Amino acid sequence: MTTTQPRLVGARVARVEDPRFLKGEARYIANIVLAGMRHARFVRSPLAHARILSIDTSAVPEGVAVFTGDEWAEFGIECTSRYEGFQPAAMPILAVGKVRYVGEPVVMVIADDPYLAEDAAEAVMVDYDPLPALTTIDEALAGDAPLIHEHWETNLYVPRTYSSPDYDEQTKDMLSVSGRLSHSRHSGVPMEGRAVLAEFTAGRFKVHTATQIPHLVRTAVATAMGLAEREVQIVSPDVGGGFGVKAQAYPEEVACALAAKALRVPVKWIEDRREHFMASHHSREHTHQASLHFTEEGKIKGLAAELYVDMGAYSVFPWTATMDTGMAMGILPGPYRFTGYKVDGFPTCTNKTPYGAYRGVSRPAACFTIERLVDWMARDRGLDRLEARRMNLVRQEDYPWTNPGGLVYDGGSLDESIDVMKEWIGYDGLVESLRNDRKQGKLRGLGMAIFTEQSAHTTEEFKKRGVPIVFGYETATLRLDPTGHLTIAASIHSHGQGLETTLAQFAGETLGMPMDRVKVVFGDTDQVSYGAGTFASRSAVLAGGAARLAATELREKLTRIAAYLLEAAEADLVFSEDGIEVVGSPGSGISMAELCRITYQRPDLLPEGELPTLESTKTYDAAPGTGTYTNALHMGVVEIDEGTGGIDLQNYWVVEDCGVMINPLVVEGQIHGGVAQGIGTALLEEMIYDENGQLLTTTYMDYLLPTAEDVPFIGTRHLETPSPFTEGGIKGMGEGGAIAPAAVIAGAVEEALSDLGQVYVSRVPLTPEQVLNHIAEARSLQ
Amino acid sequence: MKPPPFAYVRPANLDEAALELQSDDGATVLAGGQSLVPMLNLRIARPTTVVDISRIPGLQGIEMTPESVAIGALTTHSAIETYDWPTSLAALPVGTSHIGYPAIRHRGTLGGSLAHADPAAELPSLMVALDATIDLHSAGGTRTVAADQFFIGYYSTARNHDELLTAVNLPVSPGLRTGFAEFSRRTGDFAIALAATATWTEAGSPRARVVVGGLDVRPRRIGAVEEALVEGGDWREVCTPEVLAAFTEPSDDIHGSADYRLRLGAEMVRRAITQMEGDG
Amino acid sequence: MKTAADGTISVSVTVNGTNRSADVSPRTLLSDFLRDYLGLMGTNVGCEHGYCGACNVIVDGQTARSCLILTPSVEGSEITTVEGLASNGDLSPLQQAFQQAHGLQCGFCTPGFLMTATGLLESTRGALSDGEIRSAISGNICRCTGYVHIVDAIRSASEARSE
Repeated sequence: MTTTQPRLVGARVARVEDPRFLKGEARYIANIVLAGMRHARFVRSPLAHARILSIDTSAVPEGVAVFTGDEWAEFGIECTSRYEGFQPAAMPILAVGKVRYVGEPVVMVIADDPYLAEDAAEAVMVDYDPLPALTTIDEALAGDAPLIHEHWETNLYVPRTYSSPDYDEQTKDMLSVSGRLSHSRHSGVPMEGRAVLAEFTAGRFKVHTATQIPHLVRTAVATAMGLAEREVQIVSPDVGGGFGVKAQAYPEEVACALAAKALRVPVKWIEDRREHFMASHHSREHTHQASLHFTEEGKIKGLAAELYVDMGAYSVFPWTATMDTGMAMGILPGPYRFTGYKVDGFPTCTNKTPYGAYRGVSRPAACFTIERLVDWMARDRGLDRLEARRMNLVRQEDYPWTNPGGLVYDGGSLDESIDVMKEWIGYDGLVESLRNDRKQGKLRGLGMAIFTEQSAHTTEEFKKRGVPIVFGYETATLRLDPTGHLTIAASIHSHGQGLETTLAQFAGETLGMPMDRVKVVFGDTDQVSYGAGTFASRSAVLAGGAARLAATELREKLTRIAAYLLEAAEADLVFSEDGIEVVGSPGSGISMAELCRITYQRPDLLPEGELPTLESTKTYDAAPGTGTYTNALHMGVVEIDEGTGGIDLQNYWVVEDCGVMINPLVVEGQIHGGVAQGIGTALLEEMIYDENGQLLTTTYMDYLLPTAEDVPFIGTRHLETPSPFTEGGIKGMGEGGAIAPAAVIAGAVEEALSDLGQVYVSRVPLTPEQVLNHIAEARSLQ
Repeated sequence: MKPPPFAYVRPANLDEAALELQSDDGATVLAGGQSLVPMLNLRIARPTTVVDISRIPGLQGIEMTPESVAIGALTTHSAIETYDWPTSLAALPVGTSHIGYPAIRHRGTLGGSLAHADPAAELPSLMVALDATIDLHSAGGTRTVAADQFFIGYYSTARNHDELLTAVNLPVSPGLRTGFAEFSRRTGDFAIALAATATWTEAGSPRARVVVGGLDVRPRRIGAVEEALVEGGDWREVCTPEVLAAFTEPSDDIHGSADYRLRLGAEMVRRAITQMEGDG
Repeated sequence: MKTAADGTISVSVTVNGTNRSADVSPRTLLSDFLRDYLGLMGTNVGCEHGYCGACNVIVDGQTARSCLILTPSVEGSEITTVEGLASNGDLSPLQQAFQQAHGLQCGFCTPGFLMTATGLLESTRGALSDGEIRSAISGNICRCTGYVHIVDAIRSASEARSE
């Protein structure tokens, strides 16, 4: 059909959800007030590993409700991998007999306001018998280490190993570079902490919780309590950032539900910032012992790595404790064309806060490892770093390319991204001017990283990862009302990504609907179909795909009805903002409102066999299920202050290709936000434990987030290579920005110091003190 | 993170405030609240009574004469930052601009910061470098303490519990020049190391103050650098981590090791003096 | 007169131009007073130790952290919160600039940024440079936007007022 209908896909549409946030009318859970509501506070473990000897609540003021672990011992949250040999352990709702990390909930008190609840929590006395705290992977894996979970055989959740059949053959007699590369423990730290408000009314639980995964939380809560899922409603209204931290079922959600039922009042819990650092899951802490093998010309032939990830005290729902090693094992080879690969994964249990998802899951560490090794190979071979990359990239004719980790890359523009970047930033001139700056004593350098971002991965990928729930698909229901307004009810969620706007653009376009006639609904398990939620750069692809399929079905039906009513051929009809018209006959058409009104209210006028309803539900799983592959090239320039070790990140550029863009403004916002978080990874953020397992970084004074003065202007350029696999050719991209900055900044610092001497930056965050140490090391090499 | 319970009183004048402090060993003073309230919210501070002096008249403002400056204890950091200072006191607005963020500086006060005595804070080191005197008022009368004697330890000062800090006086001696430099991981954070410096002449003789913050439990003067400045020698030669180690006892923490603080302290002293000499 | 720890003190303030009074416990933080006593839920609480800036409001003409203010200490003050920016439901020019520039994502930090920017625009003239803007907002943390679009929004609001 020829069409004159307006394009919404690709337009820089201002977000439709913004006014309520701008006016202070957003509905975060903290803002919901229910009659009779009381306030919970958790007494948390002050020790990393200890037996609970006794709990004395006699000093708690009268009228305050108290719950302890023994009362709820039967209600744990368990997340067991399907990998053979995985050692399971349920996360208790409140600790039972023993605590395993600082911050673990031990006692719950419920009072009339948050101030009184905090007073009451202080009145609870818990007597502990300390046990040795295992705070590092080395300690936990030592032969004589005590067991964190007594019924286990070691402190390893489950080791994983993989080797390509040709690894030995490919790497025989090759040159190599090696390193021990690591990321600190850190986390997404959304501006809104976790929040729960639970009610038990009419025989049913209604749990408001700030989550990215409403249905999965429903599954966890219902399973923990042995309920049918219909007995639990999860409502997640406006969510003040997630980044993976809120993509998990937490014991506090179950505790508030249990307490609400026991007390017959709504129970509210608003996590405070210190609790957030101690008890919301951590992430990112990887150590990779890795070697890259290559020819004398710098052609990569193989990669070997041991991946150690400190997963903390419990396996988290729904990811299991093998998520990070599993993902890293797949993506570690990056965008490079080689086949020899050998990798071992060691997800380890320690006395630290449990470990879950954070924007990019594993990919920042994986990108850091491969990109650092490629930089070092280029140095070893005397190659320009960009050309060393280019000669090893997956080539255009290779797609779909199965990488040695088993991932199928759907397509991309790796080479082209290099060309665009070089021209945009004047690469050759920049390299030269930085070299001149260094000759004059200025410590300036350029860093770079190129990567493929596995995104929107579905059934095949999660099946491989052994998770108990395979996150394959998402579902959307589209409903036109009799006034011609469209509601999209989707099984995903939004916590800043702008999906109220982009889903409306993506599906609305199919029906020629203007934005103001489309409303997107999500975050309530009573209102939307079962689905996984929003994480892993998947919502636009999967919910968008489902919504677009449903819109297409509605369009076909509307076309049939309009053709009948207008006595025109279906092929001659076009959809526009005004409704449906006959090509070449302006004013001949029928408005969407009239068409919908007739469909619902005048079934007598419909063609025979057409049912008087305008609803469609579609479920979508993007084949082949191992994901779409967004690619990007990041570059940045730093200048180092030799007197302090301070790093001034002066420029940052991103060329990326996420396929067809629904809304470039939103795409750029996602890139900026991801890069800022990656800068935090590279320079600032770290959860620091002492040798006793005490977390030392529990305020914003000690855990440093990037401010507007730490993040430079971030330039972006787009390429659009449509995915051959997805509806509309779109790809996931929400996480990408966070993946490369650590690798970029490490490389830039190395180059900045290169006239002093050659150092190897292999750990982030790169603190000013470490930079001074690198400077001293560089000088000592001369 | 809600404050523990406490009684609250808002005295009308200094004498009433002093009596409140005298009668209650657990009472604490609230001025701008930018140090106290975080400590209340973290339940690190647990006063029996909060004595709110923020409305007491006469404790705000800057009075400048050719020989000296008097600054009221309730003067906000913003007021100091934006005052039209002579070049000789350039370190004062520069140092103050490093305190927290605009919203903190709008409410935080000079007296509050000095009484709180965080060893990595800007104003304590600046006051020692500028040879300030600090006025204290109690039910028993008033007294004045030199800033150099005022800071005695970690969050600890010569102020007695029943005394209120009312004002600070800075001499503006002939030839006064001042410098300030600070390094922190991010804008607004407490310093890992900072330096405040001053030189002037007294009865025709050169004088110098070189003070570092963040390297000890209180601001520390670096006598060797002061001597080099007074004697006109090459101060750069004594501006070293080794020399600073003889005058300070830095400790390791998550923001930097003792060794790093010494290296950084020496660098900050160099920068403060360079800035000071450039301003002349 | 001293208020006992378990007693209440009467507080009267002008919020967004309207006089509001309530009896509060001495320890009530201004952030909680605005939210729980006055029902002004637009001021979000992000850290309660003065670092994130989500709770910034304007007190007597200057931006301040409402989590670092004891409510009794602002007796008689004039306070502006995010609810005071729009008029008759219409977004103010600054709010419009945030929407047009995509200066918000999850929205939790947004009221704090709007109040900081309001204070900045009221205390300056003409078009602001990126450096001035970044310095002024350095005490507000945003975890979503990487600040680029926030700076764009404030710059464009500053340019619009100087035209």
